[in-house]
Amino acid sequence: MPFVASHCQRCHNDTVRMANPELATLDTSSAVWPKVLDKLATGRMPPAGSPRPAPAEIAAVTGWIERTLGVRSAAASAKPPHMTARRLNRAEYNNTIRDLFGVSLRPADEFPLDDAGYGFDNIGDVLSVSPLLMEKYMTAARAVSRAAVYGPAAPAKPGKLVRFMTKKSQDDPTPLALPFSNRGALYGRFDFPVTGYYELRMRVANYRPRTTGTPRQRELSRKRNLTAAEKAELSEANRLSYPPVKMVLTLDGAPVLSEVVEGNIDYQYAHGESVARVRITAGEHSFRASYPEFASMEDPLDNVNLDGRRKLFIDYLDIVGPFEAEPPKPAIAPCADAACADRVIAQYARRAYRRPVTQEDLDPLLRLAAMVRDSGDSVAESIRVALQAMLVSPHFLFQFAGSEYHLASRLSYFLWSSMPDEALVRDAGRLQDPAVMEAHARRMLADGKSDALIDNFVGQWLGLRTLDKRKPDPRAFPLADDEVLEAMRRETLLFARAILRENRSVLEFLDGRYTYVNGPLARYYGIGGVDGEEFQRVELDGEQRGGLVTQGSVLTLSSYATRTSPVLRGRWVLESLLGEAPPPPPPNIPALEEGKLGEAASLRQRLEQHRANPSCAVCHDQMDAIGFSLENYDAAGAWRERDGRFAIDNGGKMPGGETFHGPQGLKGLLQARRDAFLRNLTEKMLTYALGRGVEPTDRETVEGIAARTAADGYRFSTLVMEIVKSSAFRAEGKAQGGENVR
Amino acid sequence: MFAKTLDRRTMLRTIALPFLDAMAPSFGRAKTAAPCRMAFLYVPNGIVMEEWIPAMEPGVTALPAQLPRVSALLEPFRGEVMMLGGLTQNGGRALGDGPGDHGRAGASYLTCVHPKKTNGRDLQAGISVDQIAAQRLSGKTRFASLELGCEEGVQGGSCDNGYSCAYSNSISWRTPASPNPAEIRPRAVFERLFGSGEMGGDPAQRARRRRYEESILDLVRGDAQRLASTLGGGDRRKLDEYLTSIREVEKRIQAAERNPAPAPPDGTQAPGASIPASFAEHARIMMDLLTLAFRTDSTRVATLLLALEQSPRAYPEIGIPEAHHGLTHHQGDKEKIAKVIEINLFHMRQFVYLLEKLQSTPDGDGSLLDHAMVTYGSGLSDGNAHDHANLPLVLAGRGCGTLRPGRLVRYPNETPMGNLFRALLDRMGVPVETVGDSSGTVADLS
Repeated sequence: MPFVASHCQRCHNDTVRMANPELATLDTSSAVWPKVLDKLATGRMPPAGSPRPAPAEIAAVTGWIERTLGVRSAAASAKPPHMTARRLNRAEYNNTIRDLFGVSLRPADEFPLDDAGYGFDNIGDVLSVSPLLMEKYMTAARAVSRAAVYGPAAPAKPGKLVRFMTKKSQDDPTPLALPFSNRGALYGRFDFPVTGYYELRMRVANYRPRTTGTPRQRELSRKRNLTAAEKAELSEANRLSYPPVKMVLTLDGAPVLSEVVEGNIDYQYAHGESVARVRITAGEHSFRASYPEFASMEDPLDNVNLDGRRKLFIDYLDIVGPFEAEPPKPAIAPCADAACADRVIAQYARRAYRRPVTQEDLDPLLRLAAMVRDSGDSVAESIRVALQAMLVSPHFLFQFAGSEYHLASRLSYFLWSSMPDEALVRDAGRLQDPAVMEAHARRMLADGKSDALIDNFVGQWLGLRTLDKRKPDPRAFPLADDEVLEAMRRETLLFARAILRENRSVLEFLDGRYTYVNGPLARYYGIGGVDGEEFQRVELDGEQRGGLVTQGSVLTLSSYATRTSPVLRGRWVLESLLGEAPPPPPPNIPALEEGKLGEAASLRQRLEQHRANPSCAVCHDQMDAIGFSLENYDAAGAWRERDGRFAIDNGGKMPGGETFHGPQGLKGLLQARRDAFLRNLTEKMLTYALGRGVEPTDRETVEGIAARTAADGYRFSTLVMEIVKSSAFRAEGKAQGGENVR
Repeated sequence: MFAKTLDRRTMLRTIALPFLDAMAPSFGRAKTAAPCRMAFLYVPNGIVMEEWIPAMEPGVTALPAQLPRVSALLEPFRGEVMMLGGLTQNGGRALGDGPGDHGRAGASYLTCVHPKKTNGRDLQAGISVDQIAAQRLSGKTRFASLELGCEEGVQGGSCDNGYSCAYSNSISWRTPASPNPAEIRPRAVFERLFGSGEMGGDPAQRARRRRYEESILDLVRGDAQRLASTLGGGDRRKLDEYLTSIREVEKRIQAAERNPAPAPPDGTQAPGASIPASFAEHARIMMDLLTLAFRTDSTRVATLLLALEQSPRAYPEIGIPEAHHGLTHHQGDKEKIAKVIEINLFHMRQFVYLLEKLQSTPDGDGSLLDHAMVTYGSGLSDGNAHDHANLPLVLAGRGCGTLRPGRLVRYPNETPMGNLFRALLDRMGVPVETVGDSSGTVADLS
């Protein structure tokens, strides 16, 4: 079969053994042939970059496989995938508790990590329940039910609740310390127990060097027994040593304290504490104490002394309170009698189970509550115990396919990672009507809760969650402090949010000519005209920045701590953007080594040497070419023209002979493969929406969604609408003859 | 407080008697006997073997006077440890499944089986040795086992060439399809062991609340059973997991009634709420908790995953900003090897800390170390070559007099690791026929 010889056997043979070597032997008994049909039909094989056979050639060979070998494609022969009960993951659990009771507890933060499948942590098959988790469910249900019935636990009297300090350097491992900022900022979040007044006390540390003093200043500061006039003179001179700097404390972005730190070089902590007394509502709030003008500092290392200590920074922030605390407000209004308790229990069961409740659901809960009252506990306690039971019931912890209500839940867990609201539950019976479905989906996307889709879907699709584990080496990349790395992550999320909320084309992920930066990130990127700490949208010329592959987050998470890796970056592009994860290296191939630090030229040469080996070349030809086109970005995502002594060579050549240079060339290459990108994004999002892997039987669904999205200008929200209206999304909410659907 | 502890210990001794009776004659135990404990510690990505164990022919010898650099840290405990060589985890090898040695190393380490290559939907490894012991000893202590870790698991379908992250996130498996997640938050472990005081109230109130919780478990069991009867295969499996977990929690509540959570021993403080960023501090707190759990006889079986297989963790605190896993693929680069050795030493120092803790904690007629069998090792020997043979392993403790430490035993090549585990289970008084692919047991431990 000449097709197999020319298009397949370069990799699938007994020497390279890149999976399924039986293709070389044309062993017709092999179970591989149905898969081959699928791969050919969807254009996944031959892989991107290899010479692409003409459509007629593909038709001929698939016909041959079907007729001669008598096989049917996996898609045609497989049974439709069946739904598995899907338990709430950590994010879903927290959000559901928030929406159910309006409490700010995040009990799931204590749960063990959710396992993930197909790249996402909401896959029903993979999410399991362990005894440890069950124990935590019990504990969480106890705490949540208590907060809901009696109000959140509050400190008995005012006191210091916490002291926040920042790390002293980028690699300071001090426990509990907040992120490190070259610019001296201190920021974080705190869950305030009750509504009331709190004191936020912070202290400035001042290590600005004396070296700038005048000879007269130096003389006076050495002199003993200064006269009153001399003291005054020195003090005034010290005050003028540096320009005054404004320091601002904000709470949820609103300033609550503003002060000027004078140029004094005479003290370290002598500025003392600055105190703000603020009324704060119960719940989690973000705070930030910083020198806003430093956000526009050209080189943040100007705020760092030679010994590594920052010149000006916020030393600590204490939170003291609550004063004049309001009595904690329970989420559930108190009940006087058993009848009221039963009503409340029924009402919450319906919401917690996200569907109407049956007598079978309710009776045991009511009996339990009665038992609590009979044992001598209060009506309130009886409600609490029933709530605790609901929160560990499988009806709360799992989503089960099988009813129209499940479809409402599926929609809200997809878009909000949380339970459906009243409006959606009311319409649950009409969601099979595409117009009703779309109206709800659009309404829900416009709601702020759809940020969950960005955080959870986009965060996992792009691998942003691994950024924390991929911190650049602070010695090699001192500018990439925690604050800048966090800004990178935020940039990507804001970029994705704009594409979703503004109904823009998903192709802008590839080369959109705008992004979101704040002062520090703009300085890091060398983008002018952005000052201050707030993120703002900037238009780009596309030369250095524009599109995911040029964003610091992606460039950093696909690098090693000390240097770039064209292989990792190439792999990231293939896997995350094009959905063409390179297969694992065949057995007995040593891991690819990339040469020593800082010798980029030898890095390229060594990779080229490696590619001389055909087993490696199969994948590395593509991966390395893509990765090298991004060599103008260092391992922490900053632009560079040289790597150490070597000029950057950002050229790449794909296996098919296509050559391209730099990020622009790569973006052109990705645009040319826009349909592969769209199909990949469709599959990934469908996986996330369904909570299961996409199977061969879903091929038509995926292609239909992708085609309609492409026809509507590749719009992101169209993609979402097409997914929620697809039969795959709706089918499993409808009672049908599946194995486990009732 | 101290008197109270003694009382408890006396009581525990009584409970443990049947088991001790069985053990005492064969090993000539003294009349006062404490229960035996077992713990398995894991470090990923192999150990630089030249710095670990002297090369030798199969056989037994006293620990050499001069140990290689990494194992030399055991010097203060040379009378308490055995170094074992020649053990193999065949299940970690490809066996036709291609790459994925890290995923397989983690999953096979305590299960001794060849895990199924999957992204997650149909996980299959085996029941791990700690869980075999835990299931047999269940009910004797408040917790059948403790699973501890120092590195948060990785999310994402495939962590290593088609092997689900679940394979490297846990070394403890209670069924072939259910890994036990490791708890990495010190505070959470402490609260499990000693309670968080959240039940509150007077004893009568606490007793009522416990009864309510038992009723809650009954209620939700009913919910799950009714659901299970209406669902098909995959969903029923999920509900089975749920029901099993309900039963476990129930057992714990009942055990807690008979045997309420002890007060933490004098001078112990609850650890802080957050996870220490410093590896050494984190590891040592977990080791303190492990020691506390053994000391209060809250459990007799534990695992501690010091870092995940294929760990990308960097160790800036010892001047190593690069990822551990990346460094172990050193391809002979001396600079990288030196860094890997530094990491090996750093891990080993934490292990030595645990030995110090166990040895300095009185237990029965001796120390906890006398009554424990603690293994420390990795599912790979040479991390660069992904070698699953001749795994690094040190066995510490006297195993209630069933072990004769101070020696180096080199088993014949390809001796299954499961053989050692069988021998350890025998000494725990829970003999089994096989552990995974074990082909027998090992000699020369006593």
